[in-house]
Amino acid sequence: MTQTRTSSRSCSSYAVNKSGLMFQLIAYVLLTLGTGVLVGTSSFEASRIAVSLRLIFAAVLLLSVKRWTGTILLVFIQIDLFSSESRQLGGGMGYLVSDMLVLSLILFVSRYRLLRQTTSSGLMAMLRSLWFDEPEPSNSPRASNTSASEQSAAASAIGRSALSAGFGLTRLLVACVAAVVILMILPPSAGRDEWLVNSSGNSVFLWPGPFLLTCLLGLLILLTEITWRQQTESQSSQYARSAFLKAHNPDLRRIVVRRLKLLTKRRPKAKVSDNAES
Amino acid sequence: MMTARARWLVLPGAVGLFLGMLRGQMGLATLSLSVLIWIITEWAVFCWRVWYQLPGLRVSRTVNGRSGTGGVLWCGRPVHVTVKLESASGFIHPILRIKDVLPENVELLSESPRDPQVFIESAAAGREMSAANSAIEARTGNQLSVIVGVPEISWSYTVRMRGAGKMLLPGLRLTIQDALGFFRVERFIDLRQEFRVLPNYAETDSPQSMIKRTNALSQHGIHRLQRSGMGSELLELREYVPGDPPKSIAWKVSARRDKLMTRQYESEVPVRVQLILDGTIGTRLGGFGRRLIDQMNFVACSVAKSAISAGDPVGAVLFDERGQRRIKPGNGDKGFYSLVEAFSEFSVPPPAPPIKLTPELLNTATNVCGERFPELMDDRFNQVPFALFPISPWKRRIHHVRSMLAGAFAEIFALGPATQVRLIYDDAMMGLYMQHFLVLTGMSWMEPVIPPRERGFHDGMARMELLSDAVRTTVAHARDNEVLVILSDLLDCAPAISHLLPALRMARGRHHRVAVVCPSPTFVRPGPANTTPRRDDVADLLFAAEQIRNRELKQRMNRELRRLGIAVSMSGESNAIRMVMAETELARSGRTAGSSVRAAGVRT
Repeated sequence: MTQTRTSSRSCSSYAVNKSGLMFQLIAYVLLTLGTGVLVGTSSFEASRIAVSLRLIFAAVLLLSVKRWTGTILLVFIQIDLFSSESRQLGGGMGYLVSDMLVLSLILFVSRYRLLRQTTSSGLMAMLRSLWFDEPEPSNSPRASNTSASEQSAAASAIGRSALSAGFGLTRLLVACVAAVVILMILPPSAGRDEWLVNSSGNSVFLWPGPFLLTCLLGLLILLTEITWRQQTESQSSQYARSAFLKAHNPDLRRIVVRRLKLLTKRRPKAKVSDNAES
Repeated sequence: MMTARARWLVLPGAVGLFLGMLRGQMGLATLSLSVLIWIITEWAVFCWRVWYQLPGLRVSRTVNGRSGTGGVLWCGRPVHVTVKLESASGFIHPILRIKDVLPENVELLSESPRDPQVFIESAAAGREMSAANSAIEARTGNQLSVIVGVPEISWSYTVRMRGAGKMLLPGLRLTIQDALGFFRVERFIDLRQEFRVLPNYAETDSPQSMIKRTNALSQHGIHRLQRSGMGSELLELREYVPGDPPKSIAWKVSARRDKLMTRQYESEVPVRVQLILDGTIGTRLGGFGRRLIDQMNFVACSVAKSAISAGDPVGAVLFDERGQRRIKPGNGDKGFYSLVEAFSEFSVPPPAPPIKLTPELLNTATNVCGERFPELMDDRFNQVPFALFPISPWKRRIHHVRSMLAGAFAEIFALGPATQVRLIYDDAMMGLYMQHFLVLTGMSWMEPVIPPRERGFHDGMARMELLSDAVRTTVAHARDNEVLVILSDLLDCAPAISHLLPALRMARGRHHRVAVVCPSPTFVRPGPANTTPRRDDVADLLFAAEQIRNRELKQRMNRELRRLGIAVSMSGESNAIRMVMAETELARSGRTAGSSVRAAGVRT
């Protein structure tokens, strides 16, 4: 177990810390740019102004890295799809790769932006400080004691962050596959004939209404349950209190406002009676 | 819980899915649905993390190496705080931001965490840093962000207490974020440690007389101190000065050195010092460490320390609007610590006088409540009932904020629903609760907790009456020739000084020595140098005007007090301590006239 004590800090740990962070930042920038190039080349083919769109996409990508988040990229690609994609049913797994690329791009941009936000320093600032900071002489006793453990800690940290990124990509893949599968069984992809056959067999609902409704209800119950379970004791108490207050607010408000009016009327009288007593 | 970043992804996702389904554009629909499912997946993972990790987090804090729930700290001395965070699962997931919430009485000095896996965020509130320095060096202190998972975290920082009283470290504020910044949860982990903060003091050298100018005996009817001293221990030999008693001449030594030498003996006659400390509202206003009571505490403790080290018993009378408290004269370390503890307790602000509800008060209370109780200010749980009125957006926003605060206060102070609703509509009650809440969270008596007051135009008479009572009480319990040290903001009520004079005359009539220490609110003596504005800006002109006014008041007051033979010092600094020690020395010698006193060194 790695002990992260701060009592024995050293310049070398500082450098390792910064270099570890910088490694992550550089990795995410490179991944973003690489994925951006892939998305740029694979998209906009249907458009007549593909080159211009790609240039605009490159500019949006750079601005997203610098200032914005992945939302602008997503909207840009959605607009392109909306304007250029022809009406077609089916095609399911064919979209998997392109969706994966777009979502990976959003993931890398979001991760990079969050790291930058958390560290409150840009890549250039970190590079500059790392460049200008003088490292501790390697022959000093403190450096020799700490450097090995810190290097291994930094390496394990980088490994952990890579593992975490891998899990993130896996979740993304699962989301894309789920989306493709869902759309494959829903009416637009399933085809008009299949929809007619399934719907005509059911006298009450249009297919897949009951199935979708059940799924959505189940999902809603699950999400509500998860949200409720996350509450702290005070939050639960406060929720119960505000639920009660919402139900009885008109009555309580009327009572309180009336009492306050009575109090303000009584106050001047009380002063007069005090004066009379004195 | 969902951040703006995620919301801005959900919106195009939902719109794209709708349009894609409507127009049969499968590429658009698949991409949009993927985004939605991805965000739901991330949310589920985040919920799992919050659900399982948060209850397993164990936090501990040691202050100066001690982890108890209470203790004693000294004002102005460095205090080392170490916070340790570990998880029951053996691993703390990123991204986690931890902030050890510090009250206003605590000044952050420094600190140092530089871990390979931990990044330290800015600690000093509001400290702006340039991009070049923004790496890690300047960002140290009570706040820390974990970017990469770690088994445990332990970090230290150094703080200093600003003022005496009590200091409560309430706990840690945790902000948990997912790896992409889509979701965030804020929690407050209760880790209360309450400390009594004792006032600081300065060590003074002994201010023994160097030259005895007069050899006058006391007047008839004036008694020396009741306890006679032995006076047998030789303190030092010094050169003869005209006026020294002939019997103290060391003849043998004089013969050896061929000049007259005088034996100086240790005084073994104790002089009782009575400290009269003013704690009225005017002395408690201002930030911690900038209050007049902090200056007075410093002088009082320094005088007490010096007198007790010389073997003199020191007592005190502490008075404010609530009444008086008398501390019997004590000696030795026990006496000193009982005095210092009494000062510390006295410095804790009493319930503040009620105030009006102002927008500033509302904003401050909302901000503080958001920081200390983030869970209670969550819209999802602290729901505001719908009301048609007020209609104007500005008033509606204020109504919403008040309703949220009322909900939080109801939970914190365990109020009933009727009181909660009354808080929304009753300005006076809301103001009172906000003030109470802010004082409880450790805010000083400054705006907006207490409205600013103009100096010299209020309660001067009342304060003089309280002070007169305190002086009379002290005199009533005093023996012969004691030293009364009055620590009070007399400048604030100098026009009403005539109300104090009878009590002072009585004290002088009983042959007590009286010294008045009047702290300066600007920490600057109202001398000629400070009455000329340095620049032509408003702040300097106002400062100079205040100094001119103070100078005039000081001159008037000095005239009145010196006529009675009372020594006055217009600062809460080392000069005041020296002046009091000189008065003690005079009382010890039994002389009525002042003599030059060796300049006593003062070490803080």
